[in-house]
Amino acid sequence: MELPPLSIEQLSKLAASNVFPSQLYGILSEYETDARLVAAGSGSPETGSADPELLSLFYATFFFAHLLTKQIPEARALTERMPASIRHQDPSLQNCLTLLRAIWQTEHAQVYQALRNLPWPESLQPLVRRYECFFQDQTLIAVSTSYEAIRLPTAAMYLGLDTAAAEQADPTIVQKFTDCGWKWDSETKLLHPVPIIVPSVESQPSNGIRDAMAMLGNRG
Amino acid sequence: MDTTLPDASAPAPTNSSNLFSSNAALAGATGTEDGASKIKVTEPPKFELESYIANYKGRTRFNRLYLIGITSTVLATDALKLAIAEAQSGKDVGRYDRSVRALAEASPSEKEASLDSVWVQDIQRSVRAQTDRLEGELRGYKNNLIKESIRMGNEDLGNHYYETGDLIAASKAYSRMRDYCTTPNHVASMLFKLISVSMERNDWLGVQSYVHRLRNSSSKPEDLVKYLPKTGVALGLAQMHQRSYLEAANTFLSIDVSLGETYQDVINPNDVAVYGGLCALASMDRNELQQRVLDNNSFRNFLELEPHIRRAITFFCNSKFRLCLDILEAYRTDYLLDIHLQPHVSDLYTRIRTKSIQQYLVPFSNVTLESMATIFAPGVVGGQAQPIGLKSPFVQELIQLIKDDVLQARIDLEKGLLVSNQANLRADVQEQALESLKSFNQEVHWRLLRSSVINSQSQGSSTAADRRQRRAPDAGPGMSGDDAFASFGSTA
Amino acid sequence: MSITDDLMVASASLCKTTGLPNNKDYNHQIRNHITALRNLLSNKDLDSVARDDTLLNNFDPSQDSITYLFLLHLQIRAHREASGHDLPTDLLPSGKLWLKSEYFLRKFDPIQVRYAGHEWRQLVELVVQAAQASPRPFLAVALVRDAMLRLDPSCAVLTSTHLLLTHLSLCSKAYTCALPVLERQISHVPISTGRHFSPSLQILCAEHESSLNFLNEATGLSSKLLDRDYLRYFLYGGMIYLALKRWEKASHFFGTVISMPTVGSVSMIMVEAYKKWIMVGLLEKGKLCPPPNITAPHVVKSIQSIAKPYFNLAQAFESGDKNRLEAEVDAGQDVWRVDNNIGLVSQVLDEFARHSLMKTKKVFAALTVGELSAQTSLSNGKDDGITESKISSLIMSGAIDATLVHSQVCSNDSILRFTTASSTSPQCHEIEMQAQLQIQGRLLESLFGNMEEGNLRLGLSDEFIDNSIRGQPWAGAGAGEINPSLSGTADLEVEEDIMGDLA
Repeated sequence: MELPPLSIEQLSKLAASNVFPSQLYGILSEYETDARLVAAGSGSPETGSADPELLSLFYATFFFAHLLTKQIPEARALTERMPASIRHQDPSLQNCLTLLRAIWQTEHAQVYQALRNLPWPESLQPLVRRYECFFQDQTLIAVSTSYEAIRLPTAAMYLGLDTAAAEQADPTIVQKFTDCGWKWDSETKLLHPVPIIVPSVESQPSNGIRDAMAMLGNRG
Repeated sequence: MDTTLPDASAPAPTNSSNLFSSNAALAGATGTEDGASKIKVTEPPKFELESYIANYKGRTRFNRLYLIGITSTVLATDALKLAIAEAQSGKDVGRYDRSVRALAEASPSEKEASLDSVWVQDIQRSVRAQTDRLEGELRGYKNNLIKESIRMGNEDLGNHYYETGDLIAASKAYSRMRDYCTTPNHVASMLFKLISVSMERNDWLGVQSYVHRLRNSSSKPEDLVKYLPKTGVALGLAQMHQRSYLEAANTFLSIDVSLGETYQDVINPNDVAVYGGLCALASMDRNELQQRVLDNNSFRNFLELEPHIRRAITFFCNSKFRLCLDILEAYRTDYLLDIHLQPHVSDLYTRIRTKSIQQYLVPFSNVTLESMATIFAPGVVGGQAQPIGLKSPFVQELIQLIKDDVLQARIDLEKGLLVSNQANLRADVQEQALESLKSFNQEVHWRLLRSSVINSQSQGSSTAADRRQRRAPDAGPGMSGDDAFASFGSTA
Repeated sequence: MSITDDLMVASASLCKTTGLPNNKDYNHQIRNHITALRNLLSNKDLDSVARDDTLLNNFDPSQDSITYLFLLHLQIRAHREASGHDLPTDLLPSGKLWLKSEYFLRKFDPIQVRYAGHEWRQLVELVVQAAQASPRPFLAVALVRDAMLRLDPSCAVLTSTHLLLTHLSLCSKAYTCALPVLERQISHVPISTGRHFSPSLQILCAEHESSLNFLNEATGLSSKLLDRDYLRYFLYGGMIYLALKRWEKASHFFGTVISMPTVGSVSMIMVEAYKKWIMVGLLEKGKLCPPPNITAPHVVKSIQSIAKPYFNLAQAFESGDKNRLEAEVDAGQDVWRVDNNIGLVSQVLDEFARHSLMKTKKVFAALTVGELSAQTSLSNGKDDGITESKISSLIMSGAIDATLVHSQVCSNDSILRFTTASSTSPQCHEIEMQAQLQIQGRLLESLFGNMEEGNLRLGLSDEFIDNSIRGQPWAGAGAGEINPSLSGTADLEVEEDIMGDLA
């Protein structure tokens, strides 16, 4: 697959596009070699010498591609591969590190805080928003299977909603959950989630055991 | 064991300083003295002391009285006074000394609590004289080379040592009879004497081996049958003291009622009922108890002597665990004052209790902790604020039982339930299949690589010429016994 | 006629025959072609050719792989001689020669290069050296990986390039990058000498059942591998999986190292692998795993005695006594640091919380968080009860099957209910299990395929039988191996303490 040369425009286009996260990750993986060459300053004629802005955008974009494909350990490895010169100075990449730490420590409030309040560059915004939704969805699923009853402020905290309003049992917040089919008990002020089941593997039931055992029997 | 102790076969001590060294040897030999003195019982027992002790004969009378004296606070004075009297009726100075000391501790004001040194010296003198005399006689018999005389000389000396409390010397003297026994009856009589001494020395392995020799001796068949009840008692006690409760139960259950009052210097029939019943309760399930204890015609005769044991077993079989445990609890004091049961009461009771809890759970998929507590921790239910809370002793007991894999259940503190573990057969089978498949695959791969590496190295290490030379004509592929493929079948 | 034209004619004649896939003829053609090439390149004055930057543009590496490869080497040699450096600037990343090399490695014809194995491997090694010298080892990772997959999509024969790739991946911390190769299970190691596989007699271009027929020392596609190279590959592979927290895979790789055949001295690489094996066992299964049961007894004995602190740590973990575990962790600080296992040990310490929660699950069906806290501090003898947030993140991450039930106010009253995956979503669980079983079943099938092939090969080899009878199958483990620095492993640290420098 021939890719257009790595450029800010190309990255912005990718960030704004709707490609599947795995595709996004694949494309950006291809570009990482180019980025390394750019970083060294001895880049090919088209990209010229070291370009901190391009590099920063590339690594930040690629970082979000990792998050969207749930590759957290590899995202951490990526932060270590970033050229040292920009890793410690570039504000976007610093933001990435802050976000990574919050995700790693499963500090939900801080994850939302980082996604919403840190100054992310304009061209990265679509990915930041996309990850925020992704994270919210993942958390919603996890909460729905992990809690049989949950206090509204806690649920709001997990989902990055207004916890202060939730303390007051704000109806708009309640409604966000009841829209998911969750039950709200106004007496006890507790939410009763309905488990959201997402099959992790798409597959038809089969005679897996029988087949495997038959094989053992024949050969073993 | 003999070598570590003072030479007790030496002539009996003559002065009081030697008295204590002989005492120490005795304490070491009997073993229970230290352990026994730690247990204290403050409740009065159900039995009456005088009539209790009337059931026994011989040296066990003192031993039993002394144990009661140092264990029960209620009976200390009475029992020890009787023990002192018992000791003074014999020739064992060590016993006298021990019982007087114990009484001096329990109630110093009693007149028996001070040592009668005149009596002590008299006895010591006469004992020494008799020892000298018997040993002299034995030497004479040996010079004359008359087997029967030598045998009897050793027996007399053994009896003398036994009466004076020198158990090791007694045991040696009895053992020396072996070479001079001329009839099976002699052998049997010698072995019974050795059994008695070994029991008093707490040498239960010895008891077991003497019983074994007795049962396999060349005595007449009718004699062997006659010995069976006594050897059964000895064997049962030995098994119980080694905590083989199921074996002990089976041995006691098989004792013939003809035992009667014939073995009172060790045991009486009531004890057989109690020991057999408790060991069975601690080791058998409900069916076994019904079939082998309650429906056992021969043992029924013993059980009739101790009807509460019969009741306890019946309650257990009918799943009335509270009633069963209550009966046992009521007799705890009595059993703690029994010379053979004392070290085992707590162990036996715990086992019976644990088994009750297990049996109680059998029919249920879940049970409220509350209802369990009313049966197994009635005191707790009434008294505590949180009778079935996490910190209650009963719940902690259950937790321990689950951790030890005794109970296949989990505690639901939210609903106050004990939930038995339900196996999800399909899921379990699937998981097991997956696990074994994974580890099988893993091992196949490891073996494959191993053999590939071995193969690669061996190809590299030789030339075609010496290959031909070293060709092993009959070794086919795969026959080499190499581990790479040899054991696939067993792994599957 | 210029040499370029000669070369083009020669290549063109080869290209024509590719239309007729008769292996025997093609084999013949290629061999003739190589002879012709060697003649051309040895006889003429090549200075001008070697310096002609546009020369290679005349050839398409996917069509003229051999010509391209030979000329590329010619040019590299010329640059080296001119600059006096092994790695002239033009060969470094984004230099002229680098770009040509990269182009070649992405486009080469995998059949043709079987006949120029030495040259192919030398080029790969040069690219790796250049990337490492630049110093950006990352630049070579994807390149080497793709070249390997292009050469042999099965990647089932361990080659010297495998070792290069894992080493590069660790150096550059590009772990996921190496996975496409690592995930392909190695089923053979190359056979050392070409007794059965003399390359000049082989029809290399044919479709072979196993790539073992061309991936060997004789064709040059792999250099000679020593016993320690096998060990090192699986150690490195395990470390890559470790960095990605894929415990099951990591433990399989470490197990491979431990169970490799050895005679005499035990390699320190095995010891390293065993240490990590123990730690991964705790992380994956929460218990001290014995070495694979096919491990030689003398190996088990030595690795266990050398790795004693790890053994003690695992026993403390299993005992469930947190104080004891912490004491072992403290006592071994120097050991963990010297072994570069600090991160791993700290993860084990973290894992302990989940492990004790699992133990609680055995006893309780449901209890409040407060009760749980009291119970753990009861059994630990100190007040370090687990908090609700810790529990909830364990549950939400799927590390433990349970649910939480909030009550109205106090968080200590929250109830923890233990469940099982099969009870909460039986259907989902079922599907998952079936899929897993299928995967393992397929794996089993391919293993059996390889095994039969292995048996076939063993049958061919009389030495194998002789050696097995003598019980001396392996005589390579040199004494030089007992070198804790592992010559090159020491600098490869996987920083598992993932948030260590972020926290």
